Amino acid sequence: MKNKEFNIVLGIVVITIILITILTILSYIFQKSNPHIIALTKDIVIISSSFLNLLLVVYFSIQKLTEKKENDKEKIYGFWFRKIAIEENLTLISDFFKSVDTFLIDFSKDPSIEKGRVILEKIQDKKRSLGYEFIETVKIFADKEDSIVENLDNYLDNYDDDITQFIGEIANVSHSPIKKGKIDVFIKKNIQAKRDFMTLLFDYDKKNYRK
Amino acid sequence: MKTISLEDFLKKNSISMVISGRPEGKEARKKLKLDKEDLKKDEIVKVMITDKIFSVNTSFFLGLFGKSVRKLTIEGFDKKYQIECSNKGILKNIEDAKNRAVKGLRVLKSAKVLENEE
Repeated sequence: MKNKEFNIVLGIVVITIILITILTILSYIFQKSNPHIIALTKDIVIISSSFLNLLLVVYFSIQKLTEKKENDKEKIYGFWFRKIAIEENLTLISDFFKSVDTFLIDFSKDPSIEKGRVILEKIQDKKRSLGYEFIETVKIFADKEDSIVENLDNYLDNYDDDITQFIGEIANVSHSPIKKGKIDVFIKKNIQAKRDFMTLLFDYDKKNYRK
Repeated sequence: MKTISLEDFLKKNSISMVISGRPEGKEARKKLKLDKEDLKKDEIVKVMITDKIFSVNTSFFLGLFGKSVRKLTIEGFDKKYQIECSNKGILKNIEDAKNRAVKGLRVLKSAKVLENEE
C-alpha cells in the first residue's frame, strides 16, 4: 500500500516536471513570434511548481503521520507485552524453577524409583501449568507466524527431557541417599535455565517492540 | 490386533529408562510406518507402556503420534490407538501431548511449518 501511494505521487511529480520542461522549451521556441505565450508559460510554471511543492509537503506529512501511528502501536504492544507476558508472569516462572529445586532436594533424601516417579509427576505438573498459564498469555501477542510460543514450548520440553533423564538415572541406580553435590549441580543448571527462558522473552520484546 | 511396545524405543543400555525427544519420536513413527497405519481407521492398535519404563515424555509422544492426533482428531486417535499404561504421570504426559498436537494445528503453527514438520 505504501509503495502504491509512493508510485502515484512519483508519477504526478514526473508528469509535472515533464510538463514544465515542455512548456519551457515551447516558450523558448515561440518567444519571438508571440510574447503572450511567454507570460502564459511563466504562469503555468509558477502554478505547477507550487502544486508540486504542496504535493510533496502533503505526501511527507502523511508518511510521517503513518510512521508515528505504527511506532505508537508498537510502543503500546511492547508496553502490554512487558506488563502481561513478562512482569505479571515473573513470579510464576521463578516459582516453577524454585519448586523444581525443592523437589530435587526432597528426592535426594529418598532416591527410589517410587519417589522418583512422584517427584517427576510433580515437576511435570508444574511445567504443564506454567505452559498453560504463561504461554497462553504470550499467545495473545504472537500471531500465526511467530515462533515465540513454539520456542517457549520447545524450551520447556527440552528442560523436561533433561530433568526426567536426571531423575530417571538416579532413581534407577541409587539405593541410598545421594550426595548433595549432585543435586547442587542441577540446581546451578536451573539458574541458567531460568535465565535462558527469560532471554527468549526479552529477545522477542527487543526484536518486535524496541526497534 | 497390532501391538506397539514402547519398550522397543528405550535407548540401548539406558539407565534412566526414559523415552524422550521429538526427533526420537519422529524416528519411531517412521519405523512403525504410522502414516500408513493412520489410514486404516478401523484397525485398532494397542500401545503398551510397561512398568519398566520410567517415563514417556510429551516431546517423544508429540513426535510419535502428533501427526496422527492431528489427522484423526483426539477422539479418533483414542479409538484407533488404545494405550495400556498404569503410570499416572505418563498418562498425564500423553493427554498433554494430545491437546498440544491439536492446538498446534489451530493456533500455533502456520500450515508451512506443519508441512515442513511432516
